[in-house]
Amino acid sequence: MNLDDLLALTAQQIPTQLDEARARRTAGHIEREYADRLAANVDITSDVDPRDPATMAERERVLRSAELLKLGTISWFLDRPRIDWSAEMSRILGHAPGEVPPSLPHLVSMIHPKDRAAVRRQVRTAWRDREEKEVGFRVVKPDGVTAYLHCAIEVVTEEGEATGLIATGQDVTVVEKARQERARRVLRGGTVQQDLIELDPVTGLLTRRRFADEVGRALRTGTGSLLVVSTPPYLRRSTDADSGRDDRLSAAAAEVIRSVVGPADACGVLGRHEFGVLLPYTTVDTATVKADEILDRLRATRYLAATSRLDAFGGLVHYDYRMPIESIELLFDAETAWRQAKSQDAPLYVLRQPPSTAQRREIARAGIRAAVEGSRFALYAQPLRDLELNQTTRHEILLRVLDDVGRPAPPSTFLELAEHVDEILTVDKWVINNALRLVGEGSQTSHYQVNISGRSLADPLLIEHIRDAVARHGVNPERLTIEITETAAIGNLTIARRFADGVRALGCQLALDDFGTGNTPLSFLTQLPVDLVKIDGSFIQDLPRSKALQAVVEGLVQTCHRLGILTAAEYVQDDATVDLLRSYGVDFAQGFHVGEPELIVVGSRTAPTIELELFPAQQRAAR
Amino acid sequence: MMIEVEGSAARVLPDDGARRRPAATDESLVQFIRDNQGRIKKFLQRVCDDPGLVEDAFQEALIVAHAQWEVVKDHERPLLWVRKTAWYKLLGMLRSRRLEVVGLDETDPAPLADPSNQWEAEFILRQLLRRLPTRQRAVLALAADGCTDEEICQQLGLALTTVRTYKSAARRKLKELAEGASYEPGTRRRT
Repeated sequence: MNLDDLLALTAQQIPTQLDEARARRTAGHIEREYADRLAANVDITSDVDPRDPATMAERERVLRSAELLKLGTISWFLDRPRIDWSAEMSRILGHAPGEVPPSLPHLVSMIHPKDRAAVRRQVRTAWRDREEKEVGFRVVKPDGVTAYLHCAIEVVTEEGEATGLIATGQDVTVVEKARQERARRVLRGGTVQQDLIELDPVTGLLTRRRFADEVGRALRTGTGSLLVVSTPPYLRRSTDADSGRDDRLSAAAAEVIRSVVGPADACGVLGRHEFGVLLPYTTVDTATVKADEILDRLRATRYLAATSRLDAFGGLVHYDYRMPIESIELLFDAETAWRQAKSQDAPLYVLRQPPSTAQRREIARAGIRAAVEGSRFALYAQPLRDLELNQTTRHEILLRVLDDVGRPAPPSTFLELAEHVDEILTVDKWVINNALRLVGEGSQTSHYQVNISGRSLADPLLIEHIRDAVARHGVNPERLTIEITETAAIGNLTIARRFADGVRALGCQLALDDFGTGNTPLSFLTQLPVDLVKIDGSFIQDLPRSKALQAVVEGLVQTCHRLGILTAAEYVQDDATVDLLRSYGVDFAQGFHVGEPELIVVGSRTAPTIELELFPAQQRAAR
Repeated sequence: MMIEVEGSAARVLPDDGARRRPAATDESLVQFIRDNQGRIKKFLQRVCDDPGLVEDAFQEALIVAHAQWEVVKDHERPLLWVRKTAWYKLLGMLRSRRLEVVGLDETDPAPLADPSNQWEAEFILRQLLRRLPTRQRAVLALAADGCTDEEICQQLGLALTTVRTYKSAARRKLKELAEGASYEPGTRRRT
């Protein structure tokens, strides 16, 4: 298809029946309009030039039409000694008309330094090729204000000979800013997480954290009931742990619960074989009926797994928005209630109202102290790979809590509770004693990182405790890093700073764990003498697939390096992540891809289960 | 200063107050409208997709023509001047609503085949015009009305070299569209 053919075809006048009457009607209409405007004294001819355009020289015509369109012009002609600019352009450049004599050096000095080369290139190309060129650039006005200009650079000719250049332009700052804002919104739309719902991948129910959020919301909006169900499979005291079977059983149990509850009520996975169901706006009686139905179904269902039946115990607590109670406390109450049910060998235990704060605290503290005294913990060591040397040079010592059947479980729930009831120091001291003993017994070829809760820092004796343990077990302090977890719990910065200085005085190093989530302010990087920052796993898990996470991690690593802080990444799951981390200059990588945690010590497997510790009285009475 | 800023257009007429008196429409203006209203409107329609704006610019241009007819009727070709005025009026209107129209809707290219008649040609031309920046669009719309390059640059206030540059840009764009379309199945000529 040829443009000239196309134009020839369209140029033919389509025969229209233009009748005289239509023209007269139009003429009559414009006559009245004209009269109206005359009467209203509206100026209609100041922005037109009645001269015949065919009689005007090209350069004059171009300049005049720009003027009529209220566009600024900058012109340069072969037969003139210097450039000129119009009054409108003078205004655009921030000068009153006539204030500054037009000159090329002055014009160049006003163009933003970063845009000068582009402008020069476009002007030269236009002149060389005898072609119109467009250019957008910034000018810095005399008062320092920066504006965006858009100019069309035209080559004017006389009888085929190029005689000059005219740049016609306008201030497009508003349009340009709107364009930038649209581009920014598009970018932002792609980098922000679409929703905050976190589902457990095995069961499709809410994660513990999100379920706790839902409980917290319900606690503020009305009355209702919280049910926590434990579904331990019928097993011999399990040494034959099989995570695949556990997952299948969890998924099946979740499905049963969902089928009874319906889609509207929140359900979450709280722990291994432990589920939460939120029953808002229910009375104790209706909630009890519902809970019984769930437990019956769980017990009655036959599961196609290694074990065909599940046991099921439920704890039901009624709540009221008028009670000063937090979601973690209500969850603990419901969990205590199902343990109560189990200890009585009844399917359901109902708390018509939550226990008092003091009672709850006593129950929780007793359980935690018993766990510590009974050494119901295991310690694992997980390797950290030095990404420069590409070998393991460090280990983090991790705590695991042994669950009801003596299997190690991640300690987050336990530690959260311990922190909530101010019993974390007991746990931290246990970890320091046992971890440093193990380190001291070994050859100390690696560097060890031991976790301490931010809340424990408030204890002035903790640093003494660490110093004693280091000396007692003969640990080389230079090969020890104290990692502060739950940095959100650092209440008093002065105390934290004193603790941190104490750690450094011992010769040990200081690390911040889970950096970037929770309430860890960036100011910790400058206010605490931190040696290492561990970037939270949530930033690392999807790193290769998320430009947004890459931007955050890269920026954080740069910041740390400029502050002389080492960086480590958790939850590293593949080589792509390792490559990215290395390219950002991250010092250490940790995660299942780098090395799994290995058991280094396990506490007493034969310790009594938590129910026995919590409810010795009932147990004795039952015997 | 090279540009005479104060040289307002109104000065051309004697400033004796007579021009402020509404005169009965000159018969030659009625004739002009009868012969040219189709071409002026078509130009505006090809340049602008908003029928309301087209109608407003058309009216405004004729009102100004009415006011200046004493001078304009003696032009070699009054059509050029009236169409030029319509173009300026349209640009002024477009500019005042600039922020609303910046979001260019990139419609998918419709199938393009060689046009077999005037209506198909017009359809293809509109497809092409819609993908061009405003000033290139105006150049092409005038070319489609049979204007020479000189006439185009006189009406749009552009340099002759610019008109040629814009036409070759339009030529490239048309080729792009035709090639893009020719790979699409089912875009055979309808004839």
